[in-house]
Order: sequence, then C-alpha cells, then structure tokens
Amino acid sequence: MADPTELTRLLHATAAGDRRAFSQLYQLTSPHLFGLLLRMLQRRDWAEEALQDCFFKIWQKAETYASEKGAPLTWLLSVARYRALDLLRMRRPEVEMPDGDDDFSLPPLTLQDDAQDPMARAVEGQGIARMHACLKNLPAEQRDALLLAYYEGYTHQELSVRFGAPLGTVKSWVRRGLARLRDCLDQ
Amino acid sequence: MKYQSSKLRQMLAAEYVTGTLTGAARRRFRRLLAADPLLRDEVRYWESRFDELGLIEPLPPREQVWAEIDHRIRAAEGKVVPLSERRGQAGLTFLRLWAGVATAASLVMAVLLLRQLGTEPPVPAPEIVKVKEIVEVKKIVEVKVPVQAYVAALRLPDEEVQWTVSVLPDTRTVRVLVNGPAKLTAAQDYELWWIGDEGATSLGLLPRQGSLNVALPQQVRVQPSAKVAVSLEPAGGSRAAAGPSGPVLLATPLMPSV
Repeated sequence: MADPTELTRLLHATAAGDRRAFSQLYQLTSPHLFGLLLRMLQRRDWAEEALQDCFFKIWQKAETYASEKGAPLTWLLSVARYRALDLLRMRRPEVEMPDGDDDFSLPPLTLQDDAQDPMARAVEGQGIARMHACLKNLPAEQRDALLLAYYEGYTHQELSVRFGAPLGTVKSWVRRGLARLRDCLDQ
Repeated sequence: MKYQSSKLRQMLAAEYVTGTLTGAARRRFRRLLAADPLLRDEVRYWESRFDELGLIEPLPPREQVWAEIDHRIRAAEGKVVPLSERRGQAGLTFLRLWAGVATAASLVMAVLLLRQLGTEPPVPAPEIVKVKEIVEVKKIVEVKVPVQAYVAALRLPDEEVQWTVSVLPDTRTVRVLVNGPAKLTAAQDYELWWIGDEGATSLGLLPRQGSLNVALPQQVRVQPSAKVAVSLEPAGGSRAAAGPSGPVLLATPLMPSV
C-alpha cells in the first residue's frame, strides 16, 4: 500500500500539471481503483472505460483534493465508486445481471469465514478491527444487503429481487443495518 | 425534506455512500453536499470506514488503459501529438483506426480522422488482431508520401465536440472540421484566430457543424511558431476593430502533421 504522504505529494504535483507525478500516481493507485471498478461493474471493458474516466477526472480535479478530505486513497476511491454507481444506474436497467459470459468472474464477498476471509488479512488497525467486528455483529441479511449495496452497487429494487423479499423489508435492512453499524462504531 | 435533523442527515449520508439513495433524492443530496461541510464529513466518515475494510483485491489494469488516459489528457489540452510520437505508444483505438484509414487519400485526412474518432471509448480487441494490425500500420507509414501541413485539435471548455484545424500552406487553405454539433447558443459564435509574428488575424468563425474551408489571409506567414486561438464572441464575430472582443478560450500551437 502506498504511503499516504507520498500520494498527497503526487496529488499536489498533479494539480500543478506535473505529468510525471500523475503517471506515478496512476502506477501506485490504479490497481486499487480498478479492483473496485471491476467488483462493482463486473465487466472488464466497463471497468477499463470507467478507470479512464476516473483518471481523466483526477487529472482535471486534483487541485480540489485537500488533506481535510481524508486519506488520499479514500478520495481517489470515492471518485471511482461514484463513477461506477452512475454507470450502473445508467446501464443496469437495460441489462440482465452479468453472468458467466465474460472473461473473468469474482468470488462472492463474504464475512462469514474467518480463515479465508479477505478481511482477516486486512484487519490491522483499531478502526478496521472495529468496523469488522461491528459488521459481523449485524444480522446476516442486514450485513449482506449493505455489502452488496456498497461493493456491488445494488439498489433497493435489486436487493429485493436478490433476496426475494419485499422492497420495504430490504429498505429497512439497509437503514437499520447502517444505524446499528453507526451506533456500534460510535461506542 | 427535513435535512436538519442530525440522525436523518447521518442516515442520508450513509445511504448516499452505500449507493441506495437513488434518483432525485441522490441528486438533491449532492446539491446539499456541495454547500454543507458537516454533511461532507458524514460522507467521508462512511467512505473511510468501508475503504479501510480492504475487501477489494487490487488488480492492475491492462497497459493500454494508461495510453488512452494520456491521449485524452493531451486531446483535452488542444494539443495534437505528432504521428511519430503516437506510433510508439499507440492504444488499441489508435491501432484499429490506423487500419481503418489505410485507404485515406492523404496523411492529413488520416490525422483528422484519427483525432475525430480517437475520442470514442475504446473497445478491447483480441490480442491476435492487434498484432496483425501493427504489421499493417508499418507498411502504410512507409508507403505514404507525407503532405506538409500543420494541425491542431481544439477542445473548448463547455463543448463535448472537438474541432480539428488543418493548415495547408501549398494551397494557402485552412480547413476546419467539427465532429458533432456545437452546444453554444445562437446568440454566440466561436471565432478562430491565427497568432503569428504579425499579431492576431481572424480566420473566421468556427463551424457549428460539418466543415469549412477558409483561405489564409495575405499577411499570414505559415511558420512553426504560429498558434491558433479561439475566442467567444457575439453572433457574427468580434466587435473589436482588431482582435477578439470576447474572452479567449484557448490558444494552442500548431503541430506539423508529419
């Protein structure tokens, strides 16, 4: 993982029009953004196109990043996430949920299994451990709904279809899940 | 909606971040966000909590993605990259287009087409096809006789389309081509200027669509240091006796097309 100080420096240099710094920033961070875009969009061509959009925007908007906006990587990832959400909202109505016709597939995200849990590897800092623990304490359907919404861009309607549950029910799973998560994190 | 209640604000921010706030509600929230630093803190709170989980496996994108980004940045700055440079770093779009323009009558036209089509999103092509096209490209480049000309691609701030200006000194002609309808209102026009040692000379208005041929004014000397500029003017062009009367939106050097 790239050092946040270094990323901040590269972002500032990018804002000043330094192409070399921008290229370095891309080298260091594009795998993170691409992983996220692939997870959300589930198609390599869409993810690549979205990645181009994101870095084009980052080049243009780097000067709007300020350190009070949080960690630089979080800011960069948020550019990618909101781009992906926009694309999903535009594109999903006309396509079925992606199936096996593409050149890759991702394993489902899960929190259940401590041994193979990708999160187990990521749990290092106190805050991360806390978020992890709080998520695990949620009822399964609330947690799954939240993870699918956040990491795969599911809407309420799509969650409702996925879980075979009424729309109002999944809405309240998301809402209650977030509220409980917040209470737990604030403790 | 009552955005003042802090619990409600927290929930809206959380649902915005998870993406379950959709449609008009999402757009409304974005507007609020722009004006409300506390709301932005809420959003960042959730963003960092989720990101810190590290559930996403990083995965490097394919090489050509960077080439496309680099190309878009240069295009946005109104710079035309000389062919000699482009050849080495070509992305898939570029290679595919090269094959497509093999029959074009002149390299100038080839450049124009490339610039015009090059802004479209790339569609990944199978690896084998790519290799074949590279071989073809080399052949084309060797056979073609270069036409001495200068080109510039112009991207204006509020426009999605791109104008391509080519300067043909042998016929003293400037050809301007736009790859789609311009957005600006009927009350305004873009005016194109030649900036040389002799100062600014109007080349007329940028076409709103299609293409336009303009004769180079007598006093203009075509030289490598020349630039072209675009100003935003009232309909019909500059009201000033000489030079633009409106804001200059862009000035860019001309690049040799070969």
